[in-house]
Formats: sequence, C-alpha cells, structure tokens
Amino acid sequence: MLIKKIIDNKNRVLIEQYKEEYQLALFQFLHEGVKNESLNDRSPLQIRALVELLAGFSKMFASDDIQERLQGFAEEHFQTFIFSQLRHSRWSIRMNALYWIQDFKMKSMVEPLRELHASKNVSKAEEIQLLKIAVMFEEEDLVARLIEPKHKLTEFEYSLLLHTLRKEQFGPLVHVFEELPEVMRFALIDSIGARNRMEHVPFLQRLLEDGSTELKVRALKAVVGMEFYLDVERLSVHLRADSWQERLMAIKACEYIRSQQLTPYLTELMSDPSFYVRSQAAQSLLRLENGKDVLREIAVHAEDGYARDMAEQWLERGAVS
Amino acid sequence: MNVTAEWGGILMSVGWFILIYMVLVISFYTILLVISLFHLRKTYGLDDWEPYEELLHLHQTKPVSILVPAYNESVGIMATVRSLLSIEYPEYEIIIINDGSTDDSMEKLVESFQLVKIKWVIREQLHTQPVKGVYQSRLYKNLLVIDKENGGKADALNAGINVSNYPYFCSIDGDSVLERTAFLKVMKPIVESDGEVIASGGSIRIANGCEIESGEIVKVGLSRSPLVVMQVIEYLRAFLMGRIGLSRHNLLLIVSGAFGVFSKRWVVDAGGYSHTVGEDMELVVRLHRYVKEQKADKRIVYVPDPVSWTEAPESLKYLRRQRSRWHRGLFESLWIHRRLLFNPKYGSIGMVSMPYFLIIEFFGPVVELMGYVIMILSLFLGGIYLEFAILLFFLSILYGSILSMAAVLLEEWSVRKYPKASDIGRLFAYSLTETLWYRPLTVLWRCEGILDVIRKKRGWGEMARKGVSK
Repeated sequence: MLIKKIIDNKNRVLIEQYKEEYQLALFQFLHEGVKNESLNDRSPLQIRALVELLAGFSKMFASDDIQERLQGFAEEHFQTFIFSQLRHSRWSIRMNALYWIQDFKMKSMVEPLRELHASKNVSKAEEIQLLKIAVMFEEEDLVARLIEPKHKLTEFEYSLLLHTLRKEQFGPLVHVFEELPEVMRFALIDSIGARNRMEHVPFLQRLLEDGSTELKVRALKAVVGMEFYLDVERLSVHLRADSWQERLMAIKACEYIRSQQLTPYLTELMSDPSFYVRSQAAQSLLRLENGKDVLREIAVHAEDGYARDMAEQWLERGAVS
Repeated sequence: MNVTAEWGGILMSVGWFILIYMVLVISFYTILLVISLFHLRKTYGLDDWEPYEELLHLHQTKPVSILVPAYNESVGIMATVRSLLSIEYPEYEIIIINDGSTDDSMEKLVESFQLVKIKWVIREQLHTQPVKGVYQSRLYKNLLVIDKENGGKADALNAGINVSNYPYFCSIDGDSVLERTAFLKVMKPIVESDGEVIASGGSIRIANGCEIESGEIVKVGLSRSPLVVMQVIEYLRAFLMGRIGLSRHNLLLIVSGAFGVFSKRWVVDAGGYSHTVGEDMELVVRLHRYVKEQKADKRIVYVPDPVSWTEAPESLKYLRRQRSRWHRGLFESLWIHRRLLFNPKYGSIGMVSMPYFLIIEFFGPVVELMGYVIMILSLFLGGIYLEFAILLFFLSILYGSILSMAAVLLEEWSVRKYPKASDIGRLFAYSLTETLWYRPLTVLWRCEGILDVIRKKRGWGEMARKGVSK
C-alpha cells in the first residue's frame, strides 16, 4: 500500500509537470489553431495531463472557434482513452469519462453512450449525466427519455436537465405539459423563469389563472425570476390568496414594480399571520419611493404589535445593508 | 494459586459471555466495514469538482444559515468566521451566538467585523435564555452575531434557529475550520432529494498537525503527539467505517455537532435542541422518532467527503473529560428515548440503531473492562484460564487494532486526505498498538462516564483550546 502511495504521488508530480509543459502549447493551439509537435506525445500519464488541462480550458472559453478546436483535439487524441474509461468497472471512473465527454462535446461517443444507457446496471447518476449529454446533442428521442427515465428523477434533477435546454427544445415540452410527471412540470416552470423564456409568458399567465395553488406559486416564482411586470390588479388577487406561499411570492413579484398603488396591499400584509409574509412585505415597502415613510408610520402608529416590530426591524436592517 | 471450583465456574461463564459478545460485535463491525469498503471504493477517484459545480449556479440550491455557538471561544472563533466567509456556496448567512462568554470574544467580534447593534424581531419558535442584542456586520452583510445570556450550547443553537432567515441551518463548533467546498457537498443530498433528506452530516477530521492560515487548511499533516494520532485513527474508524454503513440504511443516530446540516422546519417541529450534554445525538434520535410518528418518508444521511477540521485535546486530562462526557451524552439520549428500544413501531431505528448504541456503544466499555480484568486475573490463575485469556487478547487485537488498521486502509483507498506516505505509515503503525494502550484508556474513561451518570454529574467541564489557526 505504501509503495503504491509513493508511486501514485510520483505520478501525480509527473502529471503536474506535464500539465505545466503543455499548457502554453495547448493554449496557443486553442487560441490560434497552431498545433505544436509536443502535443502529440502519448504516454498514459501525458494523456491524463492533457485531458485534465483541456477540461480546465473547456470551462474558460466560450467562443465557438475555440470550442470547435477543443472538441476536435479531444476527438483526435482522447477517444481510445475515454472509451476505455467509459467501460471501466468502477463507477467513479465511468462518471469522470462522462464529465469529460460533456466538457469536450465528443460526438464520436454517441454510440458507446447509447450502449451504456441501455445497459441494465446504469446508475442514476450515470443516467442523469447521459441525459445531460443527450440534451446537449439534441437527440431525437430526448422528450421520451426525459418523460420515462430508468430511475425516478426528483424535481431538482429535472431542473438540472431542463436548465440546459435550448429555446427550441422548450416548446415541445410546454406543448405536452399535462402529460409530464408532476415534478417535471414544476421543474419546467422553474426553468422558464430561470432561463428568462419570455415567449412562454402567456403559458405562465394561463397557469396563474386556472392552475392549482402549487402551480400558481411556481408560476409566480418564475415571473419573479424573469422580473416580468404583472399589473397591480392581477397581483392583488394573489396578494390576497389563501395560501401564504402564494401571498409571499406575489409580494416578491411586487419588488420590480415601484407603484404607489401597491402601498395599501403591502401595508395590509404587514399584519399577515405568516412571519415570512410580514417580513417580505416590509422589504418590498422599503423599495417603494415613499416606502421608508410608510414603514416609519407603521412602526409608530400601527395597532398590530407584530407589524410595528417588523417595520422597525427593516428600517434598521435597510440602513446597515 | 488455587481457586475454588465455584470461582472458576463464574470466571469461565463471564469469560464465555465476553467471548460471544466480542465475536458478535466484531461481526457487526465487519459488516459495516464491508459496506463502507464497497461504497468508498465505488466513489474513489471521482472528480472533485464536477459533481458539485452546478449546485453553485442553480437557484434550487437552498440558502443555509450557519450557526456557530461560542462560549469563551476567543482563541478559535476568528479563524472559524474567516473560514466561513470564504466558503463556496451561493447564499448563506453566518450567525455567531455569543452564549454569555466571559472572555473577550464579543469585543473581538465587534471590532474585527464592525458590528452594529440592530433591532431584530425574533420569531421565538424555540424557548431560549434572553437575547441581549442582535448585531450585523458592516463589512459582511451576511454576518450576524447574537449576544445572549448563558444557557449552554443547546440553548445557543435554539436562539440561532430563532434568528435564522433560511430554511436549512448548519451547526458548527466555534473551533472548526471548514473546507471551502464542504457545504456544497453536504447540501447535495438534501437538494437532490427535493427535501426527502432532512439532515446531512459531514466528516470531522483532526486539525492538530495541519497548517491552517486565516481559516483555511493550507497543508494536511499529522501531529507528532501519539495521543492525537490515535484520535485521528479513532475518527477515521467512527466516520468512514461506522457512519457510512449506518447511513446506507437510514440508521444513523449521530450527525456530529461539529458539522451537520438540518431542515429548520423539521427541527423546530421536533422541538429543537434539548439541554443534554450530547445534544447533537439527542436531536437526531428525536428527529427519527418524530419522522416515524408523523409516518413521513424522510432520511438522515452521512456524506463521507465534506470535511470540517477541529482541534483535538492533546493532554490526557482533557481527553479523559471529553470521553466521559461523550459517554454521558450517549446515555442521556438513550435514556430520554428508551421507549424506542426494541419497539417495532419505530422500525429499524427501534430494532437496530437503538439496540446497537445501547449494547455495543454504551455497554461495550463495561464488557471490555471485564475482559481486561479476566485477562489479568488469568495470568495469576494459570492453566485453562491463561489459554482463555490469550484467546480474549487476540480477539481484542482484532476488535481494536485490526479494525482500526482497516479504517486507515479505507482512508488510503478512498478519501486520501493525507498526502505524505510517511503519515499513512505512521497511522498504520499506531493503529496496530491501539489494543495495547489507547483502547484500555478510553474504556476506563467511558466507564467513568457511566459512573458519572450514576453519580448524576452534570455539565461539560472546562476545555483548554490552543487554537488551530495561525
């Protein structure tokens, strides 16, 4: 064991050395397309060093030219290595290979990836990684694979996948919204908000009108994420909703609207039964032009002690931060 | 020396009891070892950053309130705050709870972080000692300090929960240093499970011997002190071997107080921290109990990788105090929740976890002590007893040294925190000596803890801190 550790430590030092040696040449190649002879070395440690270097670079540059060269380099030099890693018996090695394939956008790996996905023992983490790559390559059967995955996915895991969807990929999913698993629906609404997909605002508005409470809360959250302007009349319905989560989200949606019309609603919500709603209402009031005066008024004259306390707190917190 | 047949019979019966007990315990630990080995080997070599990178950029990554209870932690608190200010996590707040310190902790904090006293509406979901004031830093918007009257660690944590703004909180000790990515890693199972995981605990490692600057681990090393090295091995054994196995089957009863993340809602509903010396274990047992009573499908997990580095006692005096206190804490948790023991209503927690902690963890030292006594007696009695003592001795070597050695192997085959081969060599060598000196010592201290329970001793006892950061 100790001998192995000493050898591993030495190999690590060597890999770091190679990385240093190759860094400039690889950078120049990616930037200018000038290929240096030294990059053709092929010992396993050298390949490992190149893979690690390239993975680092893949996150630094966004330009299409560079990404194209990066992909070409990976296809040319790493195919055999990554293919062997993808077939490794240890899960972590296969996962690393999947990360690299994603980083280098290696299209040549599509077939081996399909084989891996079809295998009986594919783990959940591998499946998610495979789906992410499928999203990236815009594979044809993507929607079917997302709707019926091998492992049950959580809302978070769906969000991970949907966040990387391109504009055109959203449409088909919104179209079959009713057929999607519940967690996938939530994740989809969330992604529309997070990715600022303004073309789906009518869809969100429909949900705000006749969705379930949970869908309304999610749609409001997406609206907040997009900083989309909802008129005060529409918001007022949600500001007086039964669910405190809906009221809370509606207040958050008020933050981008500096309209005096909101003052009476927010003032009323300063006496809400929910602590979170009161706190959020105070924060939103603070953003209004005359908000501080309103809060001062509440802090001194409100009948409700909770409202007075909350107003005082936010007047002071606002001053510090 | 001649012994009567009656005395010999008693000795043999006790000896057989110990023998069977140890074989059972060793079998149990071996099962845990095998489970851990498979799990750790599976993840060995996984990219250190890729699986967590996305968590940094997704808004689903829930914000966390970090609670740091501090009672006379003037030496270590600044390093802890600095390490917390530099962690990689999208949104978090740090809440230091000054629990009526009598040293200069509060003054140091006020001065270093330009604290300003502010009006704060405290949502008293859990009852605590009075809060004298809430302070906010002018330098770091997300740094709050609660100044309150002394009420103990549990009370301080409850006050922190009351003031916290976020849905998840993490409790860490005032002398801990966190690795930068520890939060991303420990929060991953919570975020990924859409809240099915309600608590998640990370690994604790010993910082003595490491180089720490401004709250950040610069170089991992191993202390020269044999007492500290043995504690390092003990922690490896407890975390890598014990908790992985238990966590896999939702049997975990301890999320260490030095680093664990909890869902605030579940903790508040379960009643918060209670005033025991082992408040961390007690809370987890209560959470399990509450989850079962609510018939909810929730889990408490352990994540081997995220590391919080903490200072270990370097002298026998303080180590003894710590160990007897831990044992008292274990008893309190078991006693408060005795209804769960062998109660099928509480599923595997009642039928496996609680009995494990009672029979193996709590009574283990008593049985071991009996074993040592028999071994010594047998030396004088000779004959068949001597052979029996030799058998017991080999079993205790297996129980203490060999299993600890396996824990060091686990570390080297999986997590690999120690970069130097010589450190691993030393850990290995020391682990072999465990049965000869360290284990008997801890057995005595833990038995002392049982005596303290009987004597109804309370409180923590003072703890000397040198501070681990430069």
